[in-house]
Amino acid sequence: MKAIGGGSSESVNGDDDDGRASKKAFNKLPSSMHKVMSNDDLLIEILLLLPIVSLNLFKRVSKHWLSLITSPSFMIRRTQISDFVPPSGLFTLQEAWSSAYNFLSFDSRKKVKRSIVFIPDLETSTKSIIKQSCNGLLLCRDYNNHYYICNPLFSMFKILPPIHPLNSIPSSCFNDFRMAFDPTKSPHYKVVHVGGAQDAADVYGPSITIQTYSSETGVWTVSDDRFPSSSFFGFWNGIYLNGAIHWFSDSNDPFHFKLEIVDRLVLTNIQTPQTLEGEVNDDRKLFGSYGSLLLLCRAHYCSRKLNIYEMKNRCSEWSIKYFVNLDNMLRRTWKLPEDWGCYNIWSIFFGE
Amino acid sequence: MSSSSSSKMIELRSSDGETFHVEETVVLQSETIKQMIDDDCANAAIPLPNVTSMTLAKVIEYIKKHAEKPKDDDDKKVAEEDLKKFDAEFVKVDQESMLFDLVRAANYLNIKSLLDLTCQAVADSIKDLSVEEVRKKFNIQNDFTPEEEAKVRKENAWAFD
Repeated sequence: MKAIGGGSSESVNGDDDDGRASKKAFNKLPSSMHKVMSNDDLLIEILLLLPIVSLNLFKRVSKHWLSLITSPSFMIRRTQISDFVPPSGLFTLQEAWSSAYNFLSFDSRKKVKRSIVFIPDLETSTKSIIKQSCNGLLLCRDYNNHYYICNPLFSMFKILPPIHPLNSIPSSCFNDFRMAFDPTKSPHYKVVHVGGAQDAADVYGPSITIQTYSSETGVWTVSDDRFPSSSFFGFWNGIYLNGAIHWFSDSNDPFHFKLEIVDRLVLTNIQTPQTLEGEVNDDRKLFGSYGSLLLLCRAHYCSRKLNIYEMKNRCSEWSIKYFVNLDNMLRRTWKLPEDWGCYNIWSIFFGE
Repeated sequence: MSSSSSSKMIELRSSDGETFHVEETVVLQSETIKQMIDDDCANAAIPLPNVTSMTLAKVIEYIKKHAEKPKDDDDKKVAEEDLKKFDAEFVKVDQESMLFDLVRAANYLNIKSLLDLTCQAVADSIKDLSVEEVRKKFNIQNDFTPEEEAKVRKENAWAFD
């Protein structure tokens, strides 16, 4: 282990040759602060420990900060630091049946009071809906069926280019998009499109075609592999986590599907844990939280006890994480509707 | 000379001439001093021309606390919690300049855990600031033209978040 900066850069006495501008700029600072902030090695150590949101904001501080933060070595080191990004705000529907959302930011620098209407092209004045939220980016669709990525923090849009046309697709077919974005691993996102005929028996062979869009290349790439359509019924509702999309296809399946999208497409299935009766409960839902995949399901049929299972990165087995008894959690006066289910639960967050 | 090293005291001299006596086992957390001892340069007081007595006293408080060894596994858990609390309190300094002094001292003395702790404290103190507030705090000139700044703003809207 070597001291950062070494002895020589520590002997800064104000007569270093940092250039006139920086000397002048640091004039009024306490000397210790000056010595730390003018030592790039130390400044980098500090910048590395900032949350991603702050780091991106601070690229605008000065040209020097921009060059430090965007240097390849810095970005590689930063992506190796795993941290969870706490939720930064809430989207609330302006009114029932509308497609306009209000964004309520938790970050005091980004108090967005005005409503956000998710339309990249205001001229069309069509309503849009959020299809997926993934680590800070949103996948949206307008009523003209244009898909686009929205960065709500900066109110920026990127309309996705059209997918490659598929040969003779009947009207009842798969046409689903999912986004994959993990800023701790890469600044680029991917969008996966699943298209093909709905042929449950797959009598004519696998019929699903997958194409992938990468923000790095800006183009859609069609995969040569074909997949059975029966695996993709719930794909539209899939969860992205650690390089793969996870979803339940059929409510009776004792497993869920996992599509790895990192280098090549790999489709596997993962067993769902059984209840005490040795059955698989069909009231279940997948969540992503802080780098783990979570499975929420009822302990028994019609039970008010929930089990939360966790699957760690690179694992393919569930382990029980929590037992939740709703009777202990909810107030007596707060009644669950008769037909409640795991689909009513929108998010799971773990505290420290 | 070989076996009685556990109680051996090392003398450190701060930039303002004050001397501190610290057990060798404690002071070995500093890679810089460890190197000096290995090189047999620690027979007399070790001069630390970059560290003031006030900062050095804080550093010694830190390495003494971090040198405490838990007796068993149960004790280990309690000790870890205790150390966490100590670290949190340790970086709550009255004067902000002390925090930066500690960053420099940790760097110079090469104490990795103290460097991480103090850099994290600095990062925490700026993470919620606006761009303008960061410039003001560190007296940094905005050397972007309005067009350049708009470009950075636009490009980075995409990369993350």
